[in-house]
Order: sequence, then C-alpha cells, then structure tokens
Amino acid sequence: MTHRRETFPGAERLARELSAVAEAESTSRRARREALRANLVARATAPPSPRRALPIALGLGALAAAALLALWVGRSERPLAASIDGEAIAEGTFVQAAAGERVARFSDGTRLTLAEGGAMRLDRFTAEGARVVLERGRVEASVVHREATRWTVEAGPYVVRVTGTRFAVWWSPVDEALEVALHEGAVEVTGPDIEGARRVSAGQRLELVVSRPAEAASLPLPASAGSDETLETAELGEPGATDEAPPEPRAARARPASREPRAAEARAEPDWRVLVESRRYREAVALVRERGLEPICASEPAQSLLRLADAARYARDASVGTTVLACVRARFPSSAASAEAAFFLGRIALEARDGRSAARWMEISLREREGGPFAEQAAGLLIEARELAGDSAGARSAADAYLDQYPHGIHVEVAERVARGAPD
Amino acid sequence: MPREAPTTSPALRLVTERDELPSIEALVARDPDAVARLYDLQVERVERLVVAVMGPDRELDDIVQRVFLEVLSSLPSFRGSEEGMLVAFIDRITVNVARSWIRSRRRRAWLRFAAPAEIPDVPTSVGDPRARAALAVALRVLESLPADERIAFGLRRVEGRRLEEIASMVDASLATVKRRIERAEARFVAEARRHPLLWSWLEDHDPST
Repeated sequence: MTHRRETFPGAERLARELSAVAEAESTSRRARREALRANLVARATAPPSPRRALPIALGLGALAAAALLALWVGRSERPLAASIDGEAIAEGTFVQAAAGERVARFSDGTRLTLAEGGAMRLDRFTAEGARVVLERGRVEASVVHREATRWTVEAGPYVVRVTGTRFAVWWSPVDEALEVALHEGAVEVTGPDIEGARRVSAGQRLELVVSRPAEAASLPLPASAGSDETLETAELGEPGATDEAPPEPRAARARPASREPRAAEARAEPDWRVLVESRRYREAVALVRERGLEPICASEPAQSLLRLADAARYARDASVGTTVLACVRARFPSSAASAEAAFFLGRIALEARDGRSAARWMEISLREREGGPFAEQAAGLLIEARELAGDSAGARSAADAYLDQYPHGIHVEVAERVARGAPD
Repeated sequence: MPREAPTTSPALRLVTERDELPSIEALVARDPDAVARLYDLQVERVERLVVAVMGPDRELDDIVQRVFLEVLSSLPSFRGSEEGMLVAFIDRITVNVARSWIRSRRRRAWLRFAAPAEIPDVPTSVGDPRARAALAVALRVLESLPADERIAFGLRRVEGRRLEEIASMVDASLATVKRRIERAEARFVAEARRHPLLWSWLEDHDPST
C-alpha cells in the first residue's frame, strides 16, 4: 500500500488520468465542431413540424399581414414615441438614474436601460430613431433594426451610430473615457483619436480616452521623466491622467519630446491592464505586486481598480483583491463602485469561509445599493454567509427576504431550505 | 483569449472579447448567430463536463447537442443577470442531461437484455498502454455506479469542483453530495480490488515486475 493521503490508493492518479481523458476527448472533437454547430443551429432555429405548424402558420400569417397592413397604413413620418415607467416622455427629456436603473421604451420596440448613477438626454426623436446624449454612466441599448433606422448615442466628443443592434456605452466625463461594448450587430464610432469611423462588432469592446496633447506638452520633462510604469499608462491612454490623479503621477505622465523610442520602450514593457484584458490574471497580479499597489490604488479610476480586483480573485490572490477593493471603498465612497467593492469583499470572505465578515459585507452592499446589479447575488449569499457564521435566525430572515424579492432567483433552493429550517 | 486590434492612436484600444456570451434575448429568439456563438464559447466546457461524469462516450455528440437544445428551451425561465449565472445554468442542465442519459441507457440495456453501454477505448493520447488498459477497467467500474454517485464522483474527482458547487449543480444538499462521493469511492474501491490490472495500477505496482 502507498502512504499517500488519498481517499483510496491512486485516487489522485486516477483523477488526473480521467481528466486527461476528458481533455483528449474534447480536443479530438475540434475538427467536427463546425458540422455539429451547424446541426445545432439548424435544429434550434427550425420551425415547428409542418403538420402542426401549417394551421398555426396560416393563422399567424393572416395576423401578421393584418398587423403589417395596419403598420403600413399608420406609418407616416411621425417621430417615435417614448415612455419611462409607462409615462410618455417628450423630446429633450433629461433622465437620471439616481436610485436603480431607468428604462426608456420606444414605439419601435427599442429599449434603452440607463444604469444606476447615469444620466442621459433623449433628444431629437425622428421616425427612424433618436439622438441620445449620454451625460455620464452606462446605457444598455437594444435597438430594433428596421428598413430605415438611425440612432445615435453621443458621449462627450464621441458619436456612436447604430442601425440595429444590442450594445452598451459607458461614458465618464471626469476621466473623459468612453467604452462601447457590442453584444450583437455592429456600430460605428467617430470622434477624437479615431481616423474616420471605427467599426465595433459583436463581442468587441472599444475603450477610448480623450488624449490631452496640450496638457502633456505643458508639463515639465525632467531627465528621469516617466518611469516605465507611467509611460505605459500614457501610451495606452488609460484613464489615469485625470483630475483624480495625485500631483506626482500627473507630473510623471509627461510625454517625451520624441515619442517613437519611448513608445517602443513602452511596448516592450508589460502592462497589468493589458494582462488583465488578456485574461492572464496571475501575471497581472504578479506584476502589480512587483511594482507596488500603492500608486495604482491612488491613481486608477474605480472601474480599473474593480477589474484588477477581479483579476486578483481569479488568480486566487485574496490579499491583493482585498487591498484593491478597500482602495475603491476609501477613494470612491457612496458610489456604485464602492457598493460593488463591498459585494466582492463579501465574496472573498465567503471563499475564505469567514461567514461573519462575508455577512457584514453583503449587508453593506445591499444597504448601499438596493436593487443594484449585484443585489440578488448579495441577498442570496447573505443567507449562506449567515449560515456559515452560525446565525440561524439571521439566515432564516435573509432567506425569507430573498424569497419575497426573488421568487425565481438562482438561490431559491437554498433559501427555501433555510426558510424551512431544514438541515443542510 | 482576447486580442487587441491595431490601434489608431495611443488613446484607443479595441479589445475582442471572445468569451462574451450572447444575450439571453437573442438566444430565446433563437437568433442563429447567437446560438452559434453560445455553442462556440461553451462546447468545450460542456464536452469536458459530460466526459467527466459519463466517461468517453460514443454518443457524446448527441448528448452535447441535447444539452444545448435543453439550454435553449429552458432559457425563457432563466432569471440570472450575469454571465457567470448563465454558465452555472448550463452546467446544471449538462449534469441533468447526463443523468437522464445514463438512466435511460440503463433502461434500454435492461430491455435489450444486453450489457450496459459499451465504453469506447481510452484515447491513445492518454497515458501508456498499461494506464489505458487500467483506465478502461476503471471507466467500466464507474459505469456500474448509481447515476447520482457517478456524477458526484466525476464532478469532484475529475472536474475538481467544490462541494458547494456540486450541491448547486445536482440540486442536493452538501451532506448528500458528500455521502454520494463517499459511497461512490467505497463502491469503486470494492470493485477495483476485483480487477488486478486496475488495482495494481492504482497502487502503482506493476504485476509484471
């Protein structure tokens, strides 16, 4: 017999080999995937079987024809109508999402969801679309494609042109940073630093920061100007050169008189943001550790810090994750990012099986952003955290609250068990 | 892995996020591009999970297709708001489909008075000939376990999932999952002892030496 600490002899070896079998099976199927995908798409999108479908199709066809006729007859150059919470809104309406998201619905079926903390103006309604001016924050747009569709989302100096797609635009006037993420279809973005128009397609995300040549040129250029770290930031145009940045890093952001050699130098150096975007989380966190967390915590915008915290969690580096999240809470109090940080601090505590701490953070997250994007998860994990902390009564109360608010939520099974007082 | 497109200025960065799943709305509407994208992004994960709980299977392609069709037909009831929730949802459906498949295959086998499903050869890329022979026996032994125990064993030992995760995937309590894994291991060991090739491989003793 071996003396390995296993549940049975060779358990680890068996697991390793079975895992290799799973990997090999999956690899061997790569060549066939195209055919299998085509088969799946055909099956998934196939109409119902003809025998059953015919009468339904005839009925639906008649209905559709009537609806189309009605639409055609009623169609005019009349501009779109819009409503929020069932109330009609006029052109030029300023919408703020102070507490919870706001959803604007248009008569062509288009939907704009303004995330909490955001503000937008719904301007110039036409028969083909509308002009949306995103003052700040994030808007998720689901634009219905028609024969003639013209929607624009303006964010600072940038314009996003849309003909029918699903996408999100995030704009920070403080950082002068834009992010456009495409879920479906494609859009075109125009504005500073973009030659002509930049097409962004499904699955892509465009990040932009307004460059500030005047500001950069006015900064002194000491002999030691620009550490590698700050040069990378400047070259990448990350939202670091902002009003929030402390004086030292700002001074260090000076661009060299001749940019070419510096650019080459900067490209040669790794950047933790690029590593994070490339999902190389361990390397990103190792780099941050090597260069020190303090300057990053002091200068990076909240979203950037949250991404770094995510990377730390994925890299299973709870220490960096906790520090970065604490920075977010200290630097951006009362913000959505701060509440998000509380939620993830709770997740880290839960992973460390620290029920009390996890429960406290989940409570804070829920209190600070009721109905926010992590509210359901926080409410569900609060049950688990309190249970873990041995607080049965608290867990039951959290379970009752969860079931009231999210009767179809993902934590329903756990909530029902705890609410019933059933043992795990 | 995401990739960066060439930039037009230092301030511009275009990142392709290949792992961004399509929207629920597009999937519910059975948008062909969205269905294809879901498949592309999740097929390896689904295949690995199926093989982890069922072993290499000649019907793997059919099982995986069934998983995706089940996912698509169940999505209207999906209430999650995050990508991670959708992935967990797919995992749960994968496990459910695998369980149904195992059970229905056993019923079919019983009706046909035949042996349980044949287990294909272990891929030749795995291990040495002795390891492959031992693994083939191990897979036959695992095949004989009750479906729930076999699934719990596969998720824990092959996939390396956390107990809490498994509990959520199989819709059972943590205690039940632990029990299933313990029983699966006990049954596996009892059966493995009857097969010298497997047992000696597990103990790392080559009987020929």
